[in-house]
Amino acid sequence: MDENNLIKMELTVNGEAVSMIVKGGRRLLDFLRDDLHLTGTKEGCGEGECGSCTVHLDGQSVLACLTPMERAIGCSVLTIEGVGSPTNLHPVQAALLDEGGVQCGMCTPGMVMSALDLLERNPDPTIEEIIEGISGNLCRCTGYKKIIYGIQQAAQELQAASPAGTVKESVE
Amino acid sequence: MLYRKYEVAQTLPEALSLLSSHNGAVVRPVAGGTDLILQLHERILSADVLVDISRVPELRGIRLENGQLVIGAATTYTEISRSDLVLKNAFVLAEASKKIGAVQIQNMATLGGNIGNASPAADAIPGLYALQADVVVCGPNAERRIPITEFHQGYRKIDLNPGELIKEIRFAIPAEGTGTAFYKYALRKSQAISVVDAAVCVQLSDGVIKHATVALGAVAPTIIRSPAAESVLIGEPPSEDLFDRAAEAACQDARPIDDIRGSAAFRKYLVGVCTSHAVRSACERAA
Repeated sequence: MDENNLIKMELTVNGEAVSMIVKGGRRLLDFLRDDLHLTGTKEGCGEGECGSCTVHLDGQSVLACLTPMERAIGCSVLTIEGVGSPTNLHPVQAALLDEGGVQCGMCTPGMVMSALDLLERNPDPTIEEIIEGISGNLCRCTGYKKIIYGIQQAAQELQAASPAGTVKESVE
Repeated sequence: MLYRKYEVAQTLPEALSLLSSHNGAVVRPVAGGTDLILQLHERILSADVLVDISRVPELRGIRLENGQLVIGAATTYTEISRSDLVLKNAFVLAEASKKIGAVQIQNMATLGGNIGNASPAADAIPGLYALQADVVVCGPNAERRIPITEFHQGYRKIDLNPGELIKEIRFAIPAEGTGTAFYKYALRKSQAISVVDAAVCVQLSDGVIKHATVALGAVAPTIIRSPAAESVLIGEPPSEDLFDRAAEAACQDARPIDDIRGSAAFRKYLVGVCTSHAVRSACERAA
């Protein structure tokens, strides 16, 4: 063991290979923000309650504030920086803007990551399913309705855009 | 720094050897990390070395074995709530898994972690009490199999020796005609610690309850069974009057305290609410 607990972080972040020697023994959230400067992932409560730090680890939504950074070695991490771009927003991001689902913005990255996780599993969610899908994400500005409508709108757009046959069976 | 070294175990023997190979250092296993990393971050616990057991194949997955359902300790709540074996044979565990935290926590947190953390408000444990499950722990030399009611010895006190790991949970597949249910009262639907919860298994035979187990959460230093409610139920046909009487009996067995989430008096009241809801659902599912 190195005196300073230096470790090699080798993983994929937002589709790009990362390999760097950094201080270990921290949270995935600290690695993303402090070492990679991916500050879109927010620290809200820091105790797994608010969902602001939601990222995808090997395709599953997790809380970066409760994930030891070494857990991500060899894995694929998706953060909000890997979703759309300022000039080419992901439909979920665009719909949140359209519906007024963004105010202070603190919860938005986590909200988008949870919405993506939901829509991947369930492309045609009911309102109840959307509420359940984002129930691990707190927003203190919007009252949630505009976020829920935004996700519903994005689901409809993504459904309309996806080629026939790839859409999950809808309820009759 | 939350810990000085992180080691990833690939097999169960390797995990056990890593746990006992650091003289004098505080070594802790980590799977989901949802309790441990928080407790390290808030300096409630300390650790020199974390041993990652989340990918150890012997600790993962759900299988049938000689009429028993076996759930590996490092199996996540998402895996439990989507498992056909659990949905078919132990619905109460799938129902409880969906009530733990929210999606992100369910993707990370594990059944073994919930058992080891031993919170009296742990949502997965009442179902295990109701299913009369055993905890299998393994050490460097031997395995032990302990009824979960004995594994949880007191407030956050478990029957686990240094160097031992919680390996799996085992319980007999409930008999034909059994229905199970979990009912949780909390201040929010998600991301909330139970104020009170109840898990119930009932077996119906010819319209009469032949076998019943009732477990209560967050009303004592550990999860508890309610023998009073169980004896009210056994031998009777399900009815609203019976559910009321079982609820009243369960209140007698609860020993709740006042805390930030509710007063003892409110909890006593909720024991009745949770018990009658859970018994009713279990009877409907058994029929």
